[in-house]
Amino acid sequence: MINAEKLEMNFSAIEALAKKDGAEIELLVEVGESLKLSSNEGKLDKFDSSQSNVAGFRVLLDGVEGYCWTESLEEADLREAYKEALENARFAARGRTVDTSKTQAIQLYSSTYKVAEDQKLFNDSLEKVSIDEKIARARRMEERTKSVDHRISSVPYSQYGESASEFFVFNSKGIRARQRHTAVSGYSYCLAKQGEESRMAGESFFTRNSLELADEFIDKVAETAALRSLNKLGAVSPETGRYPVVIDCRVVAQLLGVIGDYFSAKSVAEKTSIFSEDLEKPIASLLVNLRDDPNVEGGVGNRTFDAEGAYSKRTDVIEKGVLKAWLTNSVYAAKLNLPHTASAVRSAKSELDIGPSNWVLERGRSSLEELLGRYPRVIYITDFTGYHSGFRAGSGEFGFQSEGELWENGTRVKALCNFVVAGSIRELLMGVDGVSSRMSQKISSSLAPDLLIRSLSVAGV
Amino acid sequence: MISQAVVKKVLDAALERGAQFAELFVEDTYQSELGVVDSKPSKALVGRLKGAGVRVFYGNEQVYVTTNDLSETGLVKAARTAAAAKPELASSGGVTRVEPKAFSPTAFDEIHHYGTRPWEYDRDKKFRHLMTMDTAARERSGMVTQVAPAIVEKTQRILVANSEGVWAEDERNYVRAIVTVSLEDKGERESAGARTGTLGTSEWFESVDFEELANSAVDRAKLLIHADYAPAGEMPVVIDNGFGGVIFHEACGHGLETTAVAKKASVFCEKMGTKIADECVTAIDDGTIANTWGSLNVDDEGMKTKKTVLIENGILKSYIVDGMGSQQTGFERTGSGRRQNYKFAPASRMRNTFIAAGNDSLEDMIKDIDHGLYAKEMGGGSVSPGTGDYNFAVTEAWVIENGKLVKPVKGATLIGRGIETLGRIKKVGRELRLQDGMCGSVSGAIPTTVGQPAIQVSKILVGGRAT
Repeated sequence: MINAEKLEMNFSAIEALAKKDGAEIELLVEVGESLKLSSNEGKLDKFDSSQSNVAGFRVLLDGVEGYCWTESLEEADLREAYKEALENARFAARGRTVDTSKTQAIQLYSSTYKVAEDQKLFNDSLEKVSIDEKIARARRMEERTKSVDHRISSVPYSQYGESASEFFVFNSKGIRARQRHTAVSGYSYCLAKQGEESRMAGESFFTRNSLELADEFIDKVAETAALRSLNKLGAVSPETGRYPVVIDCRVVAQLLGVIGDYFSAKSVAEKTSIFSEDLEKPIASLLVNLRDDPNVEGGVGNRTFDAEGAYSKRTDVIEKGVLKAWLTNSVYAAKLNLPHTASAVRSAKSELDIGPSNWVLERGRSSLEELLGRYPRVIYITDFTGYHSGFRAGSGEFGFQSEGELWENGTRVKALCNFVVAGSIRELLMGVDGVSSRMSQKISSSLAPDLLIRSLSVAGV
Repeated sequence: MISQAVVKKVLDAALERGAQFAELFVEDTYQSELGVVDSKPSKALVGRLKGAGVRVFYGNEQVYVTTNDLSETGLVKAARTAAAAKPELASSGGVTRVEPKAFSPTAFDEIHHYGTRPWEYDRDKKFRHLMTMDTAARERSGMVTQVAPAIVEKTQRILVANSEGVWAEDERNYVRAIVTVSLEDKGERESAGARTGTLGTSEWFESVDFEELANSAVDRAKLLIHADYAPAGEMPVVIDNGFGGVIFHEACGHGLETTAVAKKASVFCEKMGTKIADECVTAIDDGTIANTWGSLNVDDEGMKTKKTVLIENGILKSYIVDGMGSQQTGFERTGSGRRQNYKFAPASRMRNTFIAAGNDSLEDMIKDIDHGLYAKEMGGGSVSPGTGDYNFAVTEAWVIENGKLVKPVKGATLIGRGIETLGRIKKVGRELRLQDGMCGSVSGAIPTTVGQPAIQVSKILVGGRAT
């Protein structure tokens, strides 16, 4: 995809320039190609093919960072971007008294350990499947979803997508890391209609190998999407009150993505985590175990090194309800005197941050049915909507538009819609009363089982 | 940006396999983000986005190909990729080749005033603006534990040319100031934010009251930190002016975009010319307001933008229509084809969207209500256009009892179905106010304005806390 040797030569030339300026540099390069296809009423609604290059400099001058990115990988443009990043570091140095102590001055990550590319994260399957076959897959996704039942009126959002990308980290402390990725993914969201009522639901998939994607697999995704939307027909609002609630594993996985920042040492240092005073304290029920795991079999977020080029490893964040660790990059590990968990994340267009590889909430021993039958009346949440608006990160409180089902004595009674489930993240984690043995599918970098929560507020009619 | 001769070659290449329409979109964008955390500069990030997108239509089917390579070779290669993306047509042979028309520049009056570009404005001044927000917030309350002010600027230069002879070049400048504050008191935490932005250049910062912006965020967080939770259940709601308009944006605006209508994924399909709201409701999507956050000169398909009346006295008058949407639905284009950048094909999107001023007063709307909610400040929201189900957060709410505001409450989420809520707007206030926002949808995140006077809705489900 890219001439890696030329890229490294360009980096070396700029590294020499930086040395003269008294600066240290880190360069992230992302190169990628992607294809997105979708079908609407049998016609090719979308055929988006994109190619992109981005190079992002992080420059350290007297322990202070400046950033600049460019979409050109030519040496002259890289030099220009470096100079701009240097200027930005000079800007960022304003108002600071330079303190070269370990806890204040930011340093580049360094290591003598050479990280290797994970061979399982890429393959050449994308080139071996013809465009015709890919278009046929996009069409099949729509057709099969629609064919499940006459009440599926349309499939407004469906997509088949592929991408191949390459990611490099270079720094002036000798880090040289490279990883290639391939991804094949898709989704189908359909409308089920009955009279004036319409309900929408969907399903997604992710894999890395295009050759192994069988038609039967697409059919299964399509069928699941259709059945989910059909299940919602006839839904009514529940009565307002407090209920035991079972949250579907897909929804729990989405929630992990929303609250994940609370476990970042950066959030602790910036005083924006609600758990900033809680290390080694219970923040969840005894049933809750959460880890960041870069080596999940088939995991979407698997990685062998982080965005600073540090070797990735597993970190147990919550053990039996007790908060055991913050995720750190090299900067915040030094700043807060914490273990380095190699959790640096950065895109070429952003600043250095902290994030997980794969969040894994450990499975329990109960079946979903057991959880749904644990109390006489349980609300089963199948969808939360509006994560960005319904979650108040500062206080940890939430109020999510919800869809689901009412279960009584272990039997499904009716579909529910048009209600809000509200509470706080602390209340939710401490209230975990059961954990299922099934896990959400590997379609994102969060994996979770179903959770039974003792009681949450439900606002309906 | 690119010569007409090169663009002609690109369009020729895009049309060589039988497409009926070809378009080239080229972009060169400078963007800058500066921020402060812990009273120190924390973020200095500058970037340059440079690339192009080639779009072709085969009937109602659309192909879009992007590239970073703006050389003639790179652009022609992207065009050929787009042309070849319709293999069954290409292999059938015998297609009629469309000849691109001679270019005719899109004429528009430059109504927006631009001055100092972001790279020309003194960075020391920007730093002082950031520190003004930081200092003001910390002085406003001893409960403040963190202040995160930021200044975001963007200069986007675009060229759109197509096989129908359109040639449009434009520059758009955006400037924005944002502050988020975190407070802690007696074990309770609260955060709040405030922002202001415009379609304009950096000298606009001289007119911003940064102290007031920071103070308003602190005051809201202080008000809520020890407040009770909002009640739960259906009740009448008065939504104040300004960002309250997000209810129309989410509940109705997205459903009026042909992106949803053409796929029959909108509850407003087949409703053109029918009554969908009370007579007091007139709603407008206007891209022509000078130096306003969601305005344009030309849209991202090269069409001069327009003022579009969507709903007039309760009757649906127009959808929000882009080129492909027009082709699919037969409705006239409204100059609403928009995209975040060259990485996205354009789609029908809102610009400055608001409910027009009416005849009622805010006081009377509150007086009418025995038990309800006054939503003074709104947060973000989202909608599923297919069902019209929307949700949005209220960042400052008050309980109304017997026609009076009795106490502030927190944690209110409003949910409902757009077409039902639209029918329940019973009063519209006199004072229209607009507010900048960012809207995310199929063609990326774009600047849009929402707005309205205060409105009274007879019933909305309030997701507060049940006891």
